[in-house]
Amino acid sequence: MSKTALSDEQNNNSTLFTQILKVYQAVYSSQNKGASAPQIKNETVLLDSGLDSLGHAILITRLEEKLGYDPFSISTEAYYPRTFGELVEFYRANIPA
Amino acid sequence: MILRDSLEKLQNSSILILSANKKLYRDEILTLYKKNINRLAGARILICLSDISVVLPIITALDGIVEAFALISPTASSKLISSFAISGNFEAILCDDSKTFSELKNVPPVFHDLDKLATSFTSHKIPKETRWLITTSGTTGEPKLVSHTLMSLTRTTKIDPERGANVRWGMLYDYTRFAGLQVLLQSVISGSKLIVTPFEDSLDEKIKKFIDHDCTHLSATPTLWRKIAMTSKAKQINLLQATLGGEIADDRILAATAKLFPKARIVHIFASTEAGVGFSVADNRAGFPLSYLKNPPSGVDIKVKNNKLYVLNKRVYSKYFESDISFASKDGWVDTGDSVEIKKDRVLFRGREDGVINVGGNKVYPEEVESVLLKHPLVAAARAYAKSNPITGFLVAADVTLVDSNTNEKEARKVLQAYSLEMLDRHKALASINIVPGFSLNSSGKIVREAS
Repeated sequence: MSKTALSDEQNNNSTLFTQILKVYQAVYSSQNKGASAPQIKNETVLLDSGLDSLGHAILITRLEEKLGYDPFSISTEAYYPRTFGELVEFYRANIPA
Repeated sequence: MILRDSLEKLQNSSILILSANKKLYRDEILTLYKKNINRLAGARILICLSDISVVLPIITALDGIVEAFALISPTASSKLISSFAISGNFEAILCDDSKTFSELKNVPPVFHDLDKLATSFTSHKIPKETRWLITTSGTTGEPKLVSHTLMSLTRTTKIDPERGANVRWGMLYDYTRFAGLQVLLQSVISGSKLIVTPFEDSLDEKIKKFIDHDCTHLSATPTLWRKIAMTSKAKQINLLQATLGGEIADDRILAATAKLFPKARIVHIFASTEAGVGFSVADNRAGFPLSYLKNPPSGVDIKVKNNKLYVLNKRVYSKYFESDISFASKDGWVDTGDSVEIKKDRVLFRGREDGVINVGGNKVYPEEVESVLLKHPLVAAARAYAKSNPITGFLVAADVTLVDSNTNEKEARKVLQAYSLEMLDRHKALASINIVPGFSLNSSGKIVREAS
């Protein structure tokens, strides 16, 4: 992650944050029988947010459909984001040129 | 060799199992069921027990005495246990789950306790060897039982009790599955300590216990390793070895594991219930060296034919237990169903030749997904296949042709995704749907299925 992390406020307002959050909420709901997703902040740990591995796998697929790219196949870094903020930052850092 | 003999070679006071409130010593394991055990000579016993520290003394007592014992997952339904018990002609069931216990109907006698079982028995002949029956993952239809022996299960196990005494394995698998049994046997036979946590513990709780108990060795699927990499505490485990198996280990997860555990040797293993362990790779690269085809490092021959990987298996029985279905050729080659590609000096895994989709270690048959899709009124034709995924290796995707080409595609995708989630297990549900105008058919009129 070479880019400077944005402050919480900037991040929360950023389009990418909102776009990813929307997809996250839809996947959460589909994987949890229609329930609404809990409140998600930058520091929310992904594995504690109510989606399991399969849920995260589906999230990455949906994000690829929505945003048009998969940072995991672009980035050569051996990295798995741990928090929601890190996930957003990972998508931001790997936006295709 | 029987399990008792291997344990007798270890030091008297070795602790072999560490769980929340219990230490299980070698001597305890060896002496717990000595008294009536010969009464069970030649018996067939089905074991469905949840606690490894209860199971280990039992299988140590049974190996070399009974004709066969089956290890069935404590998560198995009573229906599945009954079906195994009947089709395998078992004479008794050992089960410690009171719910399952009360639900088992029309089956051989069920016991909580091995001593009680033994006293009720009259012995047959002591067999030449005891079969260890391991369940296959069985994704369509009923899972089957594969006959192993202690020899076939430990054929690549390196036994060095001097080094083993300093090793502490953490258990992340169900011990009744092939990979879990590998960890259990490797740990116990080498005189290492196996850290066992309750089945219902979350990954975070397990990791915390592994840290507390100074775990040095862990084995898990790449999907679980990715999950481990996403936890905050994992790097506090002082790992000396990280083993990956059960799915394709890609370069990213190998590198991530190496980064997370800088002192650890990273090993990925190729094995299946039917083929046993084929080989392991420790050079931190995906796939395996081409040289393995000529000089197999574990002494188990492997070959590539028509881009498919075969393992020579002379030690495992080649037919499923009490079945005529053979999974090996006459000369012992097991078709692993894995498609591979040779690239320079490396053999790389490309998924399943039969189209089976491995979603985080769970197999999905595309035919099952297709048949569900075809029942939906919107669908005229469907082809399910594997789509690569950085978290679970693969997910299920499908090309679908709609009955009415005027249907709104976006809406149709939504409807079919929800429908697949309702009709299928979560891991079989469609992660992505591609609407296509039609399909190419092969000469027999079937949809062409390409390896992904």
